[in-house]
Amino acid sequence: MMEGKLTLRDMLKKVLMDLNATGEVYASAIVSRNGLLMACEMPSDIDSRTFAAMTATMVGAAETAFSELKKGVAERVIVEGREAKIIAMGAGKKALLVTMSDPRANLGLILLEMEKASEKIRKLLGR
Amino acid sequence: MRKSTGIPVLDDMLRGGLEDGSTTVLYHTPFINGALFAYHICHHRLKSGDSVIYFTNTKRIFTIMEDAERFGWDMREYREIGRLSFIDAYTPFMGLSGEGRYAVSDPTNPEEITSVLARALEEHESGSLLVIDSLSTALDQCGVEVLDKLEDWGRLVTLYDASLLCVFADWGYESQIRMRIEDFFENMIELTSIERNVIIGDIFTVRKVEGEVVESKRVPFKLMRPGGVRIYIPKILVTGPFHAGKTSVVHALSTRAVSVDRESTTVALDFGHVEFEGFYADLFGTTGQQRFDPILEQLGGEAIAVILVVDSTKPETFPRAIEMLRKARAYGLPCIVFANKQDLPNALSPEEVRAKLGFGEEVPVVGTVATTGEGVREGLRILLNTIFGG
Repeated sequence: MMEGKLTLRDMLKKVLMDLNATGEVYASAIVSRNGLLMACEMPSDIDSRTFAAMTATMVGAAETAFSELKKGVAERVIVEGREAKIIAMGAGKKALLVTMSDPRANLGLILLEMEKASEKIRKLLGR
Repeated sequence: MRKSTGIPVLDDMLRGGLEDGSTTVLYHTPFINGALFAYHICHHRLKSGDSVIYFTNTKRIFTIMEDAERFGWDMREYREIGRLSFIDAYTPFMGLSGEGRYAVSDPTNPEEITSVLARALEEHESGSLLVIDSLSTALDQCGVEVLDKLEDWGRLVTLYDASLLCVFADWGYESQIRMRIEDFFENMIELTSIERNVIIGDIFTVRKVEGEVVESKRVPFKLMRPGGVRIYIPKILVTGPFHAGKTSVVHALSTRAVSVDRESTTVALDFGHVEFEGFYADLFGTTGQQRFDPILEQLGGEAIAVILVVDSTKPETFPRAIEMLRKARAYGLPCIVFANKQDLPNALSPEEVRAKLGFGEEVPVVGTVATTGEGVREGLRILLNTIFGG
C-alpha cells in the first residue's frame, strides 16, 4: 500500500547523509540564502537553526565584501579553526551547502564531494 | 462540553476543542508522525482529569509510553491509577498474548474490535477520550469492513459521552476510502508537509468542524522535545533604524539568543529562539546601519511577520524605518511596531509614533521598554494573534 515516494526533505537528507558518509565531513546542512534551515545532518548538540542563520549571514557578508572588490562572485567561504573547519558554498540560486569537518581533513577531497552534492541539491530544488 | 486539545490555535480552529460525543480523524501523510499529535491530546486530557482509552495496532504499549515520555509526557502515573487504559491489538497480531488492560485476540476481526471498544467505554467514566491508533492499519488488517463499523463506534461514543479520535495515515488509498473517511467524521484535522520555495516543513489544518466543511488556515508546526506540538514560525524579522533597540528586543523575547556585535552595535545578525504560550519562533534581528543593507536585503526574505522597532524619541529616523521594511521585502507582511524607549522623558506616545510613521489602524503599535522587557511580550502576543487569530 506504501507508495515508494520520498519527500523533497527526505531527498535532501539523503544527499547530506551520503556526503557525511564520505568520511571527511561530520556534519552538514542545507540552508536557504536567507538563513532558514532546509535540511541537516548534525550532531544533536549543535543548534542547527542558529548555525543556519549565522552561516547565511557569513556567506552574505563575504559575497558583499567580495563584490565590492569587483572581482566577480565569491565561490565559497572557508573558516578554519583549531577544532573544526566550516565550508559553505552555493547550491543553486536559493540555497547553500555547509559542512563541518576535522581541521586536518583533506580540503580538496571535501570540496570535490561538496561540489557533487551541491549540484544534486541544485537539481532537486529545481533551480 | 468542548474540551481543549492542548494544542494552541487548533482549539480555536475546532471552535473550542473536541466535544463529548464527537468523532474526529487525524488524517496525515505517512511521513508525519500523526500519533504524536494524539499523544499530545491524550496527555492534555489526562492532565485535565479525563480518562483515555488508547487502542493500538501499530506499536507495543511500552513503545508508546517511551515515545510519549521523550516528548515530556509521562503517562505512567495515569496508567497506574487506571485513567489511561490500553487496548492491545498489536501483540496479538504477532501471535503473542495481549499486554494492555484490554486486548483484541483477533485484530483482523472488526466485530471483536467493536465489542472490546464497547467494553472499555462501559468500564470508564463518561467524558473519556477514545483513541484509535491507527484506523489505517485496521483498514489494512480487516479490510474495508472496518469502515462499516465506524457508525457503531460513533454511536458508542455518543452513548458514553466520550470522544473518538482516529489516527489515519494516508498511504495512498483509493479515493472512495478518503471520501468515506471525510464523510463520516465530524471533525477532520489534516497534517501534511509543505515544500514552498525554501520553506520545508509540516503544517496542520482543519478540514471539517462539527460536520461542516471549512477552509482554515494552514498552521506550521514542529514537534519539540520536550513540549510536543508547537506552532512554529521559521522567521520573524526584527528590523528598524540604528540604535532603536532591536538587539534588546530579540534578547528580551528569546529563551536563547546569539548576536554578532561589536561595541554594542549589531554588525551582522541577532538570532533568537522564542518559546511563548505554545508558539515557537525564530527571530532574525537585522542590523540598522545603512552600510549593512546588503545583508538586510539578503536575510529579510521569507519572513512570516515583522517587528519594526523604532526609537520613540527620534522621529527623524522613521523614514529610515520605512525604507528598511521595503529593503527587507517585508512591506505588507503582518507587522507590529514597537515604539521603544518609552521610559525616556521625551518619548512620543504609541499613537503619535503611528501617525508619524503614516501607518493606519491596521498596524498595531505598542509602547515598549526593551531593556527591561516592558511591553515586548504583549507585542508578540498581538503579532501572533494577527498571524493566526480570528
